This record gives sequence, C-alpha cells and structure tokens, in this order.
Amino acid sequence: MRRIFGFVFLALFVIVTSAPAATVDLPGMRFPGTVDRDAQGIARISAWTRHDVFFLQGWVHAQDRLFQMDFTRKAASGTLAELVGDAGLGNDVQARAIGLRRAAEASWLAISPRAREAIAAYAAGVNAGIGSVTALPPEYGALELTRVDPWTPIDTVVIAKAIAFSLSFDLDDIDRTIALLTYMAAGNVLGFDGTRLFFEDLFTSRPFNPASTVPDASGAGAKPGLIEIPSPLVDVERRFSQMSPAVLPLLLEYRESVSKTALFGNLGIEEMRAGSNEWAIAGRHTSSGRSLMANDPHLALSTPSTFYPIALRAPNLNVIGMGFPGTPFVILGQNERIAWGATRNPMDVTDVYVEQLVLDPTAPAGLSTRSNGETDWLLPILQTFRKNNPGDGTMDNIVVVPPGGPIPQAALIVPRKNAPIIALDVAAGTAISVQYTGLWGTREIESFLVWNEARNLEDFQRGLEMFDFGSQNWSYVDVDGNIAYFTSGEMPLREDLQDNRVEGAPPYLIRDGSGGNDWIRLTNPPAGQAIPYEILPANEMPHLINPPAGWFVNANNDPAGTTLDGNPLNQVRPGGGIFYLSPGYDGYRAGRITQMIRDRLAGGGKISFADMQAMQADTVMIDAEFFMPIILGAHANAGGAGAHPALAALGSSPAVSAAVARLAAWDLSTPTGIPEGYDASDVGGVRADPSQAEIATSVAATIYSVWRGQILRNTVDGVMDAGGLPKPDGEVALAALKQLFEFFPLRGGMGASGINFFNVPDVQDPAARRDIIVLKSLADSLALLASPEFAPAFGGSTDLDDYRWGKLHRIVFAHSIIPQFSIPSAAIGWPAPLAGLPGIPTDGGFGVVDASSHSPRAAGLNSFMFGSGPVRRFVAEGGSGTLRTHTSLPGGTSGIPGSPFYFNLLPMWLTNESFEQQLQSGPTLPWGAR
Amino acid sequence: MTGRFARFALILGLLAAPSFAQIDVAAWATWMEPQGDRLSSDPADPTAISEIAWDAETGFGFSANFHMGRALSVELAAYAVGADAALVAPGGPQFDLGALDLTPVTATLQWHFARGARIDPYVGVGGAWILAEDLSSADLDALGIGDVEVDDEFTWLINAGLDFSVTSSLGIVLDGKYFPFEPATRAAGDPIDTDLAVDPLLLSVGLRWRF
Repeated sequence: MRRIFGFVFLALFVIVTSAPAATVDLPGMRFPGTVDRDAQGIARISAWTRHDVFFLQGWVHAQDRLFQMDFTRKAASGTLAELVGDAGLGNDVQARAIGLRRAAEASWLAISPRAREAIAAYAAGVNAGIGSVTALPPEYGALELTRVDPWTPIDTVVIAKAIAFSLSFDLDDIDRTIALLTYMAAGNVLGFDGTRLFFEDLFTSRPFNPASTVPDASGAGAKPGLIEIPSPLVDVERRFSQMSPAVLPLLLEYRESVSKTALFGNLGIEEMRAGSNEWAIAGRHTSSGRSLMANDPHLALSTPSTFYPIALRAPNLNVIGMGFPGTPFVILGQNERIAWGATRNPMDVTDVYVEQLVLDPTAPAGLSTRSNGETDWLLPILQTFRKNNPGDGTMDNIVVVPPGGPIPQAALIVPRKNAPIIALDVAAGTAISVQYTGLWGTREIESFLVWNEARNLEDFQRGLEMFDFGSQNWSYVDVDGNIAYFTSGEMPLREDLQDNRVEGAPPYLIRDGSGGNDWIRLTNPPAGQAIPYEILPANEMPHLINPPAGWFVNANNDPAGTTLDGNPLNQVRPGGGIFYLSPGYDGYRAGRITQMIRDRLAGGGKISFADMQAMQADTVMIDAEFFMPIILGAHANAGGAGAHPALAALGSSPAVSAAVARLAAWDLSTPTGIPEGYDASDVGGVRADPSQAEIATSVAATIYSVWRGQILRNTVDGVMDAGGLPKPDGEVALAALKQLFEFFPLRGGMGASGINFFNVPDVQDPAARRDIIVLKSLADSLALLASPEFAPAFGGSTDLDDYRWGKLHRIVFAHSIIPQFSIPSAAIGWPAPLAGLPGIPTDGGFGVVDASSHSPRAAGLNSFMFGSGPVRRFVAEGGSGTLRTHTSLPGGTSGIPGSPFYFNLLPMWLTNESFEQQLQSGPTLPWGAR
Repeated sequence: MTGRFARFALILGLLAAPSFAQIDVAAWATWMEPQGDRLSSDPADPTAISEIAWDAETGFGFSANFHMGRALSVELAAYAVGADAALVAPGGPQFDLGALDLTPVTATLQWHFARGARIDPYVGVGGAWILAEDLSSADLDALGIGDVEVDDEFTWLINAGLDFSVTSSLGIVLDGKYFPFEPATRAAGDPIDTDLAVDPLLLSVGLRWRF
C-alpha cells in the first residue's frame, strides 16, 4: 500500500517499434507515473507531482535526444571539444570568453526554489534516462566515446541561456563598425562621404516594409506616446576618426574566429537567421466568433528537430506543446486556459566597447582598463580546455589542451560592467569588451514554469516579468477570447541616450569604453530585476491587450514604429530620454501578413481557423510587389520611342521579353513546379504532380529570384566590390536598393554619399541607366540559369519552362556532425528526391511568410537553399471557455536514426499540414493539489 | 497529542461528577472501523480522486452510565480513536494521508432489556461531538497538498451492547456505536471544502464497575 520511496514501477507504453507496453523500474521518482506514446511518437507524461512529471520529461529527453542535448550543453558551456575533438576548440575558446556557463551559475541562484526543484528533478530524470539506455546513440560511437557526463541542473540552465543568447545576442555592432570604419577610410581616398554611405545609403534603419505592430493594431498609424527629435548623431565621424588603428584588425579577427563556431556560427548567416511570425485576430473578426492566434518560430531546421513535442500532466499542470531537449517545461504551447507563442524581438541589449588597456602589475592579470579617468583591474578566470581525439582508435581519449596560441589561459572580465574581453591587442593597448544583459543572473527559464500553470492574462504577465533576456515578442490567447501582445527582456538605459544625446557612436556601433555612454548603474536594483542597471519600464515596452483594431501582427518587425523614418534615435520617452529599442527590423513577412489580414477583413470579412493556416503557408514574395512594376516599367520604356539604344537592345531581346512576359503573368507565389517537390497545395504529406499554372508560377519565381541577386550585384554590391568595401547584410542591401529606387526621381540613383549606384558608362540619362541595369540584370539572370553553374538543375537549357523553382529552392535538415544522418539521406531511408542536387525541394523563398529564406544575393546552384524556418506551425482558437490548437513539427521526436519517429512528422510539415493537440485527461488529486 | 489528552481529561472530569444514585463507570479498548470510503466530489474538480482506504488502529475510551429506573440510562463517554487513511488512485498507487485521529464525545440514552441480570443487552440513541485532528503526511507534502484540515462535527449515533456481570459490581461490556461523520476538509489555505465520509463504527470491549 505504501510506496517504497526511491523505487517505483513505471507503467510505460512506448511504441518504439511494435513493442507492447513495457514496465520500467526507475529510481528517483516519488510516485508511479506513466509515459504514453501516441501514434506520432509524442510522449504524454502523467505524474502525481511536479517533481515526477519533470523527472519523466528528462527521462524521455535522454531516451530520444541524448546526443543533441549533450552537444548543445557542451557548445554553450565551452566544452564542445570534449565531445567532437579539435573541431570544437574554436567554439570553446569563444564560448568561455563570453561566459554563458558562468552566467548560468548566476541564474541558478537567481531563480526560485520551486523552479530549482523542477530543474533538479529534470536533471535527475535525464541521468535516469542515461542509465536506462541499452546503447548510447550512434554519434558517440563515431566519436569513440563510451560514456556521457552526468547531467546537472546547470547544464539545463546553460542550454536555456544559449537559446536566449541565440535570439538576442548580436554581432551586428561589430559588423556595422567594420563597415563604417572601412567606408570612412575609403571615402577619404576615393572622394565620397563614407559616413553618409553608411548611415544614409546602406545601413538605413528604414525597414523594407513599414508594418509595425503597436501602431498598426492601435489604429493610430503613429508611434504612440513618442515625440520625434532631430537626429542626435552629430559626433560619430570625429569620434570614429580618433579610434585606434588596432581596432579594425581586432574586429575582423574576432568576426572570423566566431564565424564557424556552434554557439555563434548562425549569427549573421542569412539562410540560418532566427525569426518568427505571430498574429492574432479577436473574435469579432473571426468566422467562429472565437479569437485566433498563429505562431511559427523560425530557428534552425536541423536533424533532429530543434523542438521536442510533449504533453505534461500533474496536479494543476496540464500542458502540451514544444519543449527544448535539455530543458524541462513546455516552452511554446497551451494549457487548459491559455496558449502562447513567440517571435524574436531584436532589441539591442548588446553593447560592444573599445577599451583602453594599460599594463598594471598590481592587477591579477597584469592588465587594467581605463574608464572615466579611473583604472579597473581585469579579472582573470582561469580555464582548462580538454578535447576528445576521435579517430585515434582509443576510446574515451579526452586530454587537456595546454594554453598557447589560440588557447588562452584565462577568460578576462571587466568587472565594473561584467563585460568579457572578446579580443585584445596588448601591444596596442586596445581591447574589445561586450556588455550583454544575458550574462547576469537572469530567470527566463522560470517564465515557462509559470506559463505552464498560468490560468489567465495576469498569470502570464507575472511570468513575463521573469523573462529577463532573450528579448521576444509574445502572443497570447485564452479561453475567454482575450488576445495580447507583449515584448519582454530587460532593456538597459544608456547614460547618454537618457540625457537626450549620443556620446560618440550610437549603441548599435562599437562604443568608446572610456565612459559617458555606460548603462546607468543602480545601487539597489528593484526586486525581481536581473541586471543592476536602469531598464525601460514595462509600461514603456511595446504591448497590446485586446487592441482596438482587433488584431495584431509581429514577424520580427518594428514593434513601435520607431525606425520607419530611418532614424531609431529620434524619439523621446514620455518622461525624457531617447526611446531606443533597436537600430532596425525585418519587415517582409509582417508586411505580407498585415496585407493579408487587411484584405480578408475588408468590407466586414471574417477570418477562419483554416485562413490562419493558409496565411502561415503563404509563399508570396512581398519584395516582388515593389520590384515587379520596376521590371515591367523598364521593359515598357525600352520599347518606347526614343529609348536609349542600349536599353532598346535589351528590351527587344526575345529571351528578355519572354522572361518579362512570364513575370507579368506571375502572382508572386513560389510553388516548386516539379513532382519531386513538396508544396502547400499537396495533401497528406504526399507529393502531387504540379499543375500547368504551378509550373508557370514556379518558372517566374525562379527568374525573379535570380534577378534579385543580379540587380543587387549590378547596383549596391557592384559599387562595394569595386571599392573593396564590405557589403551590408543582404536584407539590408535590398532595403537600401529599394530606397535608391524610391529616391530615384530626386537623386537619379545617386546616394547621399555621392556614389552613383546605377552606373552605366556612356549613358547620361539617369532613367535610362536605371532601366538598362534592371533589364541587364534580367538578361544576366537568364544567362546564369543557362550556365554550367546551374547545369545540374537545368542542364544548360535556355527553355524558360525548364527553370522550375523546386530545382533551386531546397533544404537539407542537417545533422550536427554526421552528414549521413541528415535528411534527405539514403542512409536513413529518405534519399534526395533530385539526382545530383542536395536537399528536398519545397515551395517558399526569400522573405515569404512560410519562412524558407535564402540570401537575396543568391546566384549559385545551391545558394537558394535554406536552413532555417518554422520549427513548429501553431494555430490556436480560444473563447467560450475552450481552446483548440493545431501544430506541426519538421521531423520526429526521436534523434535515433532508424527509429520510426526519426522523421515521421516531416512529410506533413512539408505540405503545411498540422495535427490537433489534445490535452491529457484523467483523475486528479483532491484538495486542490498544487 | 498533549492538547488531545488535555481535552480528554476535561471531558472525564465532567463525567466524574455524580448526580444520580447508581453509576456505572467503564474503561474501553476501542477499534474504529470507518464505514465510509469516499471523498465527496470537489465542486471545482469533479474528476478528483475520491476513494479512501482505511487501516484501523486501536484506541481507548472511558464512560459513565447514569441509571434512571430499571431500564433507562444515560451514558456519557469519550474515546480516543484513529485510523490510517490512504487515497486510492484508480488502477494506481495509494497515497498515505496519515492517521485520522478522532475524539468522539458521546451522550447516549440507553434501554436495558434485563438490567440486574447476568447478561443485559441494551440499545441506545444519542448524539456525538467529534473532535478531529488534521491529516498530515509526507505524501501529502510531496503531492503539493500539505496538511488537510478536518472540521469537528456534531452528529447522531446509534448504539447496542451486551453487559456481562461478573460480580455485583464488576462487569465486562461489549459495545458498538455507529455515527455518521462526514466532516468538511480542506487543504490549508484552500477555500474549497471537500467532505470526507468516515462514518465510523466504534467497537469496544470494556471493564465496568458499578457503584
């Protein structure tokens, strides 16, 4: 009758193959629990205590995703080389310098005992899972390892920190500074204004599309509560001119050193960029009368999948959704009363500083920095690096790597601002430090525990207060039909901005570490605040509760509309000080979603659950809406009387004319156009032959997508390449190109820098130069498609009908270390559908809502492939006391090749279909068990 | 337990005040057999587990019986009884709720069928004031419930027994009392009440002394 503490029987129903239910004896649980696998392999865990439910979550994670979890914790902790060998050392050096593991230890002390208990239970469950597996996952054998380090609670916290890090840390300050310094130097030599080239021509903050969440949903059409002021950027050029010449080489070296690391590697890579979509519609605008919410977070589309679907049930806890392997809780999902989703909010919570180094024998590291006339010791934190030696034939051969060369003896910290040194040149007396909110004892992991149990909006907001970093946009719907939007994360206030000025460089460039622009220090931070600095108060963070318009949209776009004029620093907070969130946003997907909502609601129309799913599957390229009239106009101008001969020649080309005709008939969507491709129009995860209309559309998508890269090459990139200048990120470059076209009537293609971006020798008329470049880009595109580069896809054909989009737009769901475990791969039973071409063809493309983006510069056979996108597609309907939700997963629950659940959910994801989530039911404990 | 004994002593003191001509006093060994096995449905959660399993413990009691005429008497009694309780999940485990300790104080009007004979059967009806201790156990803590408050309650009772006279003063008595007892219970701090059906049957064997 009485349980025997520590030894219980677990009724386990695991459908791993066709095996019937098995009973497993697990130490560490307090009462028996059940793990039931549904037909899709999704674990449905029921236990009598929170301890046991999170213990079992750890147990199933270890069963299904052990290597992925191990890889992630080691990448975040700076111990990846202990797993993968030399290939991980670069990651480890940089990860230890940043210090997420140190920050995780601080977070462990900051979270509540209740959350610590849950995480400790999860860690115990992982260790029970490690102990119960009959054989380690095959990756360990390949790496000549026979054992796995025990799981600790800090491992879980560091994974949570690493995920938040990937969503909020940025290297953009460095990239922008490299560009600005180079432009200024080149401008001095070549006779253009490098500063204006940076600020006004290329790195304009104005988004491609002006969709902005709060103004659009408020119906105000303006930035509520904010007052515009003149740009405070007055001193950048002088201050940057005074910057040490050692800085640029340091920045370039650092950028190179982090570019291929597991922790930092995806930052700045366009086809791997994190993003997301979310929108909600109030019941008064829906066909069911109940509120709707959609969310699809865009992270790496890898094998195994980023998310792990799970259902958890315990007293006062009944939740289903997606979690991260390595952490407990449901991260995005629903419980009995609320559903929530998230998109990335690129709030600027990272500041990079140039520090003045001085030799200081009294300092522990022999080095100090100077700030505000005072000397601060650098704090050394000694490091020991180890690495595995796979391939040497010795199992578990992990050895210490002695310091020397790229392996440092210690990580260095500027204690005054808890800022690690990421690069230094002692001889030049210069170092680069980075101050980042995520390096403090933050509590974001606890938010999910609160939300898993939340009953209403008030509970949700209580959890929101704990989401200290990893800035996100949150969408919310509940059984009462409420919809809400919140931004989260502690946004530090800078001394100079709060004083309505910019001290030297703005915070989105590298700042002078000698003082005057620090985060404003608090002696006694308020209870519940993670960072010891003044932060933007919650009521000034963009948010909406049941907005007047009855809907809202966020897809990583500007939440408050502060960048629509191209200047992110010219709005004032209600109480004074510059209202600054971020230097720029992505507006492509938000623009298209906003457009679709407005179209559907026009004239009193209603939106249904199926409409939400159809909008999630939308593959219209909104940038084409802007550029298509330009192409068609150029072709029309070429045929006009008096057209410049060069333009007329291009316009009369049969190939160009045929391509223009294809584009003129195009609806801007992007089907694959091939039977091997997966399209949203296919049903049940099964590919169907394309219709003639789909084929025609797919050809137009190919032509336009290649043209986009060519027009960039012939304008912005051409200028940059000619001067040997660094190019802005592709999306930024495309927004700059749009601005050049918009200003064309005024400037004729000249930038504010004095550079002519539409340079055609011997053609004087600016409009003719523009049209020539537009049509030449089309001719170049057709030549490229017929070239040997694209021969594996199109066989050198010049027949436009052969240019099916699916031959180019493909994806490999990549495994972290073993390519044969990627999808597609014949080794795991899913061979590549197209001979000689890697990946699975899918619909989608640059900037579409159904995120599947590549660089807009794409010009090669495999450069139209994508690597990030919706790691779940989720739609919720809430109201009248109930919630209904659908979701999908790009993969399967198991990370073990050969498992029937390795990729079983992927076909449905590829055809944009979903399955309904069902909360668990069953007996509950009396007396309101907590 | 100190408080429980203090209350018990007070009750005995009251009983000890003789005001009738003939008085029987008795000491009892008592077993409590709960006849109830349910928690009433939690109005906030109709799916809550409701089955309770009991494991009786041995208790004790004292009584004074005041005789009025040949057949009628009034018995005043107090008992200290308890039973281990467990919550039974369907098809699953049992959760220890700890011991439910009760102090029933009873007043019973008895009808004696053969008073003065060697064997005197009797029946009775009356009332009981039941003092209940809170439930407390490690399982309740682990389940996130914590201590469960159990309300005191006044109820009616029915009674039957046999009195065997060994001498003119000394006797051995077998006694059974049943009273419906379904107190309101709640987790500490929780406003929602859940009724616990205990409905105890007290089976006692005692030594009686007649003054």
